[in-house]
Amino acid sequence: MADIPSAAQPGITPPVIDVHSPVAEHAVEIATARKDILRIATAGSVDDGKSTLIGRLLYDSKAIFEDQYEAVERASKGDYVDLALLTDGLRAEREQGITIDVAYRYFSTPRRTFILADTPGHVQYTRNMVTGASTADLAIVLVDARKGMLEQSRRHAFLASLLRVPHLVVAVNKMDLVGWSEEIFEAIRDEFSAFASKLNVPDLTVVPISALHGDNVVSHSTNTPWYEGTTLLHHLEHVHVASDRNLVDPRFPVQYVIRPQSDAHHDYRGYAGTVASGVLRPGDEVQVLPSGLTTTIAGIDGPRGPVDEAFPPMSVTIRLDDDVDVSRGDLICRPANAPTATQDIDALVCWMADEPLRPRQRIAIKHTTRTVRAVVKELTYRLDVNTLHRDSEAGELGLNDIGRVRLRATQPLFVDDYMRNRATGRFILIDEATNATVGAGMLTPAS
Amino acid sequence: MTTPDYRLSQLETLEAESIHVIREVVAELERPVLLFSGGKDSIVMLELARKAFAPARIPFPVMHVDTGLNFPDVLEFRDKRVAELGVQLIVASVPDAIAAGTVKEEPNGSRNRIQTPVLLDAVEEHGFTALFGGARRDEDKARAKERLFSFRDEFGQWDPKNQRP
Ligand SMILES: Nc1nc2c(ncn2[C@@H]2O[C@H](COP(=O)(O)OP(=O)(O)O)[C@@H](O)[C@H]2O)c(=O)[nH]1
Ligand SMILES: [Mg+2]
Repeated sequence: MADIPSAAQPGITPPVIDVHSPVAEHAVEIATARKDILRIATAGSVDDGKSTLIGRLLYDSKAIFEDQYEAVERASKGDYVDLALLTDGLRAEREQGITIDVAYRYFSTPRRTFILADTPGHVQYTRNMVTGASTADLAIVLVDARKGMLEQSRRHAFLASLLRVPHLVVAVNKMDLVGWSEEIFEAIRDEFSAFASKLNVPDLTVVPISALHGDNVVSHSTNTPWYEGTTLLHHLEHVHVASDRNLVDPRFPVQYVIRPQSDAHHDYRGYAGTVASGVLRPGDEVQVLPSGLTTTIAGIDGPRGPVDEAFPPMSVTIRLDDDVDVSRGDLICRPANAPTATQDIDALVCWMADEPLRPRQRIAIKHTTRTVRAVVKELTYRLDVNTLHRDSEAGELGLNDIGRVRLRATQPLFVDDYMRNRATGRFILIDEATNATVGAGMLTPAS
Repeated sequence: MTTPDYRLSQLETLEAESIHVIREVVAELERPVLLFSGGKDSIVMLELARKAFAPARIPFPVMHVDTGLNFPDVLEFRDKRVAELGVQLIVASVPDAIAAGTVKEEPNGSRNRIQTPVLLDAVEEHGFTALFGGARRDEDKARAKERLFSFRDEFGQWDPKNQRP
């Protein structure tokens, strides 16, 4: 809610925060260091131990302070400290009337900062998972060692591959409950690997853990001498993500035109937006779509003044040399490296509304900052996420269904293949009557 | 600023995300307003809004739901900052609302609760379609120390079109 200071009461001095305390300095250091940020999406069925694992990571990485841990210790029933309370305690804030579909948490180690999107695991939350995973660098799928790979696990792995999450980790949890059995672990690992090989999973890692006791989460477990791989956190800290980002294809969707109309900045005209991919520099020759006009970048302004270069996910304002007509929804790219301009959209769509998607339906597509109207030409097939079967007879896409859809837009969109560029290869579908987001799409070539 | 490895710090990332959201709201919604009391959270919000549109002025007004119980220094700062940035300040006054009888003073004298109807009335009166507010996840006592930097991660909430991938 609003930031409204509580009533000033005479005689009560507000708490003074010592900005030079070790805690504050540590905080500043973490917040300002240029470290890799790893976005993680977690998935797993209910009771697989997601909350416990997140609590364990937060606690072991010292994102949780002693007093909180002690509070959780006191609240825990039974022999062990219920780390899930650390996570689920946070959940209370969602119930205070704040609706977040995907809950984000932060933790940090000296090497990296982690942003964890806790996405619900159920079928009915597929759309939330799509939202959480569409920007993730890595997905953790939890599997209960006692139950092995379930349909849900398959679905999660499939969605991760569909969304091109570059790294997939399967955490085989509750190994303590299966006597740390190497056979059980290997059976799950092999089954998963076989399934993953049918998908487009570029990088799969399987780790045997006990979230509750901490085995192989942060430190190596003596209970699994047969396991030669790394711990989960070590993997999260070291997995190679630098090459996952697209720094090759400059794409700058114009979000807002800045024209001060004041005397001091009379001639200022800047195009504000967030760099979707690639690197842009003053002096670069650029092309503006849809007009196709070319010009050069006169300067780039960041939040703290002019910058030499802009790269994702920076929010900047670009000034151009020539007075070309540019508005919201236009795209700035390089003349020799432009996306495809097309009115025919062929994409995998995850449908998110109760009312199904049907051929001939009218809908709005929001792609980067550009919104256009479209009509559904065809539902090519509906995908069974569990069996990967394609049902080409399907007449509609229901809530949480995924299928291949052909759309015809009234105006061109400037798109890239989602495999190459996640930012310009995806879009959302909006119901024009209600303004609700009813679907998410990925532009992937039909295979 | 040279960043040969093309990385941002966590704070810069959050800042970029916040600026993106603020611009998106302004581009998509008709009448946004930023809640600004002069307190620290709202100072952060106002600063982000300034950065989002610099060197132009912030293209929306700010509003303060004034409980009438604020430190004078804070109000002075509020007025000064608003004047510097050239933004319009709307004050929705709780004492005025009490005087007009639209809300009733609570027995304990706290005006935390009764400021909500005052806020909502002002929103209706001015026809605002979006509110920017700064809230920190760590405001709750129990987790006061927990996430020192996550206080900006809920900026996306007030975007009424949820679920945007
Ligand atoms: N024995 C054992 N129990 C676990 C482990 N991880 C989680 N649990 C327990 O499994 C139950 C469900 O865990 P929770 O984290 O709430 O699962 P979630 O529904 O996926 O968030 C709780 O009682 C946990 O204490 C583990 O590694 N070993
Ligand atoms: Mg849970």
